[in-house]
Amino acid sequence: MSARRGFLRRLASRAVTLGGLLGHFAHRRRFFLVPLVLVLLAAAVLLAATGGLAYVAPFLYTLF
Amino acid sequence: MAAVLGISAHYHDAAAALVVDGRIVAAMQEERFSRIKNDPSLPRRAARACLALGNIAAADLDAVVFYENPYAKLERVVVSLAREYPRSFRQFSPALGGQLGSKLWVLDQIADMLGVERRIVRFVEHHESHAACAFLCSPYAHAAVLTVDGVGEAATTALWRGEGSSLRCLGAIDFPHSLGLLYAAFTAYLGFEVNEGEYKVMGLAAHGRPRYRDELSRVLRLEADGSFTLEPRFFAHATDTDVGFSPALEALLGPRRPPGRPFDLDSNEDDRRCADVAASLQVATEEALLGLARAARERTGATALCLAGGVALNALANARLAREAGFERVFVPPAAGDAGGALGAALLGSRDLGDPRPAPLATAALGEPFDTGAAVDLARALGLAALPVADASAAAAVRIAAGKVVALCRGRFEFGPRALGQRSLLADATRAESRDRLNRVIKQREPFRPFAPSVTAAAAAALFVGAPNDMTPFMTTVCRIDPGRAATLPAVVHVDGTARVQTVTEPSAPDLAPILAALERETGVPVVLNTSLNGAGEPIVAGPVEALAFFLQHPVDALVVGDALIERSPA
Amino acid sequence: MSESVLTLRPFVARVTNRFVWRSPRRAARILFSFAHAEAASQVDLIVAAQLTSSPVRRALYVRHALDETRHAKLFSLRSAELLGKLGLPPLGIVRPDAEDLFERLGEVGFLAFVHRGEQRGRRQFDSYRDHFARRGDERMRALFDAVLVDERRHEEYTGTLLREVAGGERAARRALRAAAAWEAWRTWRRAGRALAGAVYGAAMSVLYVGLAPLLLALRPLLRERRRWVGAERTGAGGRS
Repeated sequence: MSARRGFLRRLASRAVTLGGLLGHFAHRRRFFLVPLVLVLLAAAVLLAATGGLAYVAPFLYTLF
Repeated sequence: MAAVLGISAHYHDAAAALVVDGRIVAAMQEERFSRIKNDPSLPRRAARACLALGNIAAADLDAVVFYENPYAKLERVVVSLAREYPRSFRQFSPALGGQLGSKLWVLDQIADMLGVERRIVRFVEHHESHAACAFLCSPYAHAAVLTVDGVGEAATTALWRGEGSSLRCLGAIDFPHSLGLLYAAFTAYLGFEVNEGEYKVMGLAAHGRPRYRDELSRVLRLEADGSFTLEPRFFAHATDTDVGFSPALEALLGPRRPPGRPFDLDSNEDDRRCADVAASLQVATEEALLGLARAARERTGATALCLAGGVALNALANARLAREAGFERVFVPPAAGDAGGALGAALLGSRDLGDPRPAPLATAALGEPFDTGAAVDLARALGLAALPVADASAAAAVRIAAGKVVALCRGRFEFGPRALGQRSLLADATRAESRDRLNRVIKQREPFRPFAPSVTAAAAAALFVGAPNDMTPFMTTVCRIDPGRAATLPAVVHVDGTARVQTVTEPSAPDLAPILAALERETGVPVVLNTSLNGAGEPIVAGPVEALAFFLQHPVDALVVGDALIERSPA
Repeated sequence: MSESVLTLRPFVARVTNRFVWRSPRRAARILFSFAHAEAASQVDLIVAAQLTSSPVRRALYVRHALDETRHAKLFSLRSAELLGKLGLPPLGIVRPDAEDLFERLGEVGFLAFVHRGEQRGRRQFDSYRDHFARRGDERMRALFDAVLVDERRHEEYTGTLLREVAGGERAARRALRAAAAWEAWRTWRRAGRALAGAVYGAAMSVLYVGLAPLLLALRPLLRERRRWVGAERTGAGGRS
């Protein structure tokens, strides 16, 4: 239960940061950077995916 | 009334600082605990130590303030990558990986590290944290404040008006126009390590002549409004952060100096060329800073100037600003670089929660106190005789006067890169062989590196021109030695007749002042060579373990730990 | 460990050492990596000395740390010598990194980790010493001989301490097995990170190329702004 609560707390914390990031771009009114923000999100998704890959990559490597 | 913890991390020189009810309680760099020089990682142990000294639990903190805006930083990185497209190809993946993978989430990491609610963790702007460290620690009610470094979020230079507790930004210069990155690129060009070797470049400059001023003027252009611009074709900041300079710089000034080659200024023509390049760089940097400072004086009408940011560690430039910028007083805090950002962040957080501005900073001794009992126990376990002495200061002075090198560990360790008598190596300033022995055998540094003197504030005026002043208690400026006295202090006067002086009083250096007093009684000369207590490439010693390890490893004659004396051979 | 593996290991080392140490440039890089490892070990030991509750163990860790410092210096000097003979500059300053092993593993886990590391190092340096003795390279043989004196002592005292702190032989073996598992997981994660990093880099390169129209279109909008004169903003308080 406490591990789950810790996970939820961390998730909530990162949501605050994401909100801060979006607020920063809105506050600065640099809307033309929105395409770049989308690029960032794509890069972040890639990073998360390959981060997860880090746990199994040696296994995949030895397979192939 | 609030308890605020300030944090700097992720770039270089991570630190934590605690301010309670407007009073600076503690400030420490993480490297002192981790033993990794300029450790950039989150200052877990430094934060714990600050809280312990303040007798505060993390849960009792009202705010935790990070010294930089992570969102603005990410924006600048993305914008720089886009601006330099397609030349930013090599940087794209690692830069975004670093930001998105770690640095963007620093506020969450801090909350996790301390076990506090995310809502109390906030940030301030990077240059504002530098400005706060300088102005709010200064003795001035009103001042112009200049912050100059490599780069914060986007600004590399900023001008502020400081009044009471408030700071107002009047203008800024943005990346890639940066004096810090200029100096760093030349540090790499001259074969030194970036963020480590800038002091060496400063020391080397005194051995050269500035005969490349015209070439430097093509690299760094000074504008009529006091600002400056860098010519981009000589740099590679956005495309190659490993080196920072482009082949165009080598075409202009000659080939870069290979890293690691020993210096020989007497017989190596290329080393003399490099010294001339260093001298030219120093002059160019000073003139750029002068332009900024004169503009600051015009904009603010202030009579006092505060400086911070990594470039403010250039003591030579600070001295020139004090002489020529037209201010009556100049202050540079002891931790002018990124570590000081933690203190500035804490002070801003404290101010915003309604606490008053602290008293002017009287001492840099803001670290953990030295545990003399633990040191004596460890010394005995290591087979060393740690003997209590009635007057350790007098015992140290006698040995220094006899030409011995004495390591001193007493009281709270210093905040910032300078040893100011809490964790110091002391030697006789009147003997040239002190410098040679320390450089060659103990510190293992390049032969052109000078050592600094510590002198009682009372005696300073007779020995050093312009001393004491607001910077000398923290060794953030240089002073010219009185020409009639230069021959009497050969170990601490640089080839150009200057010295990076520390003026000592009881409040500013409580553990060094009695030694200087005893030395004056012993020899009539209240001056000592004072260098930091650390081996080559290591952070300054903090506690008993590193102090005794240093003593065992280096041929130092004696170690004073509190009121005990450990000697290699009896006096 | 089986008899056949123990007999096999020196034979394998004899064959591989010939290739490993063939080129002076490669030898210099290997020696520099040893210097780095020794320096990292020194940092871990100093931190362990800071954090241990036992004054006796504190002194032992300090002595061990000093040995590691000396080894790091020996290896990096020899590396620089080899490169100097080829007219090449040294590989740079040895900059250790830290893993906070003592805090992560606890004192028993730390001792088990260090003991395994010293054992492994001693075996490896034994084979290198023998290799250079056979080749008649006295300088390299003497280097490894000098280091081996300390490695043997480190292996022995860490084994003794581990048994003492863990509370007996069985507990010590359990700690060694746990350390072996932790190291294997660490190696797995390092390999994983390296591979994942390569995949990420390749994917980001494709993204970078694909972004060409967007980024080239945005470039005119991203010109440098001058903020030096006349730009006023207040030093506002912190945000989250």
